[in-house]
Amino acid sequence: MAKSPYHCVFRIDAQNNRPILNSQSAICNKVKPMAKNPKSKIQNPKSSDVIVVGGGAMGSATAYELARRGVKTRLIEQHFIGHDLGSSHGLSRIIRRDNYNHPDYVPLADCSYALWRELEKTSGESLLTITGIIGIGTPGGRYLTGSELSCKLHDIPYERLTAAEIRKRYPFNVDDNHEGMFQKDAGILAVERCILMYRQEAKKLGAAIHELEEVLAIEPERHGAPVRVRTRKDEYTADKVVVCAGPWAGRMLKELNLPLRVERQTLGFYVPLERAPFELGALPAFLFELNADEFYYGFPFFGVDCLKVARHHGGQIVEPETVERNFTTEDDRQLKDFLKKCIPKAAGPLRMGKVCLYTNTPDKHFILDRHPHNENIVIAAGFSGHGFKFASCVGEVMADLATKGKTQHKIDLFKIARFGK
Amino acid sequence: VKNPKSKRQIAKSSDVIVIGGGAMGSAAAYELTKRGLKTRLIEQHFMGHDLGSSHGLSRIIRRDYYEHPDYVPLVDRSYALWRELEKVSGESLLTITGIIGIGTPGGAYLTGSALACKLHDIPYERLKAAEIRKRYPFQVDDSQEGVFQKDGGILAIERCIATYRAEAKKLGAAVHEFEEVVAIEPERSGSPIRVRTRKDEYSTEKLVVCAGPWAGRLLKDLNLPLKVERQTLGFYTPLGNGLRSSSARCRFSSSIWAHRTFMDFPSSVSTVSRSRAITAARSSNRKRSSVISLSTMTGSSAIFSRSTFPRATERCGWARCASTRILLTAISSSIYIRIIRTSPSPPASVVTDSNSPAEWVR
Repeated sequence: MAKSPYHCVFRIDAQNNRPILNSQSAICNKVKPMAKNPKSKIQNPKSSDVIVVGGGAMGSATAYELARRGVKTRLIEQHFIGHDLGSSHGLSRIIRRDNYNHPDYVPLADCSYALWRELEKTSGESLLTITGIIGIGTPGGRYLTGSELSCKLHDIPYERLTAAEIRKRYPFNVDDNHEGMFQKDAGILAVERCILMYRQEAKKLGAAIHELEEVLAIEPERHGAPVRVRTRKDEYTADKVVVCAGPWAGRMLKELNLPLRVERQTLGFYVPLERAPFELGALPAFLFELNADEFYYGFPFFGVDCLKVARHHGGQIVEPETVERNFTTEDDRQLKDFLKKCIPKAAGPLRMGKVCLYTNTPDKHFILDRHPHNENIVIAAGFSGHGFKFASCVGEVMADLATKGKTQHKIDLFKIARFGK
Repeated sequence: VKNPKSKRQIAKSSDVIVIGGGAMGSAAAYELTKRGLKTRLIEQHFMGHDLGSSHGLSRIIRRDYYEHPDYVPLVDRSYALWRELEKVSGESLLTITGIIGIGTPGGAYLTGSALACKLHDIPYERLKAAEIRKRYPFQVDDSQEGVFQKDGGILAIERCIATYRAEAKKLGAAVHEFEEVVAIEPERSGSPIRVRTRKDEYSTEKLVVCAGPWAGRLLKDLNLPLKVERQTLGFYTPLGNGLRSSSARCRFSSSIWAHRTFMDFPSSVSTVSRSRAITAARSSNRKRSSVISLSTMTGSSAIFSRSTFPRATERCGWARCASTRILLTAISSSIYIRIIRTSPSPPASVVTDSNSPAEWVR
């Protein structure tokens, strides 16, 4: 396989000392004839098969899945990967099979479990810890009804608990009219480490990773033409572009006018008054539906010896650039009130508080679709506060859409067209 | 080996245990495994957590060490080792930006810095207030002067630690995370040391303690004079236009701009991050340009410190950003390890907190 000048340039451009994979060499050869035109010769090193915009959960997973398929991939992130200005930072995220939002999420969750385990194997890191989850709500409420439905449709084993049983098993104060559901397969994902592993493994497979490089414009051209991505530093072309821009998606895809709203979310880490009931192994992940608008969730000790609690939704609608990123005393008060009422043994001192962002769609379902005006642009957005667990599978879906234009996964729920009109 | 208990003991023994997986501990673990030692690293939280001194985006590295000239050789070795780590890992960790330090003539910074430079033949440039105002968007009094040292730079701190962790693991280090050390049981010289955690117990020939703000508590019997200090950093969005315009852009180019300012007056330790900073605004002609924008962060660590270390002094000091020193010494922990391996008693702490630079300079 003769080395074209282009071949060499790519090696440098990728900032990767590892030998170039065969599949990449093949791609190099494929585009070689274009090199006759001096202009395209210059363009070539900056072209790739796929560009992924955004290096958060979804983008890094997508880049890995693409690189794994031998696709020449470029991942562009505006900050450093692993930053805490979006939605993918921190210690822990829940993963669970039962889904109260819609039963269609269950197969995606199952695919995600498998892919997380695969990433663990590839990277040698422990990423997913099974703890089970206890969800508490009122019978007939959204959580219990939806969760139970998803379990029944997909044959997921679960256990229904009365208020008295919940009080007996867990350090929770629940009203007699509340009930619970325990599902044993749920667990905790070490979120930041997951993303770092995707980054690392994608890099190993030859993906070019650009950090601290903000994308200014994606220029959709006519169907079939390459897509141009302009950043603050340079300009790149690709056959396909995958946009995983999190809270910045609305701004990046302005002309689509996606109905996305960014919501401020807060999380608190509290030092419980008693250690034992809150340790990993003793307590599952948990979720409380106090009423139709008030969802709280939390984790046992994980990564730090504190109980992590947060409210799900109910935050202010904000802009990612101007949002209050400090955890305020008001945020503390709200979470503390919840703890005092429902988990009094955990209502100890606040050890740390964090702020993160949700990007919501009106129906709280994701967007996983091709750009309506340019089929070479693929979009993952609007994860509405329940997306991380699916990141590994979303990576696969995006890679499918970018390389094949279709996927075996059922993603009808996530079409952009549902907002139309 | 017949005794099943001792068999278990053997599985849990190692040549060296490193306590603490922050900057110093992860560097130490890497250096130990590089030397072929069976190493176990124990961290109470997940590595990369933000409850200590090693999180965030950026730390300064600089050669003109005003705190004491003896740091200079350590810093120089650190530069070499950071570059080595970059090579081994394929990551970009150290970005050279230069550093401009501003202070009053006769003050600790200018005096110490110039001394360090002179003793170790480090090139530097002395700037008058007018010159500083001309070059940088800084408001300085006429009584202030500056030192520019071109070798200063920025370390991508969290990535440094993650990289040490990854490389140490590759070389076979056992990394235990989310496992708090409860007790260290030093025995008579020559016998193994026992480390008890919340989960298990391990024995080791040598022990390296890199416990950061928890060092005092962990080494209680030594009564080390360590004080934990709360520090805050802000990320601000500058008022862009002035800096965007014409000639200012060239002077405030991205290579220079990223100097985190480092001022010798008590009112302002202003830290600017790389995050948006460099990316922020590049003009359409794609010349390296200016403008810092960005996003606040803070908060979490602040709240943590307040709730955890209520007695931490809230002195918003000048140059005593603990972080700087810590990262610089991060690498030099490799040097300390050698000491540990030959001397019977471990050194007090890797983070030397010589509290009185000004005193020394005199």
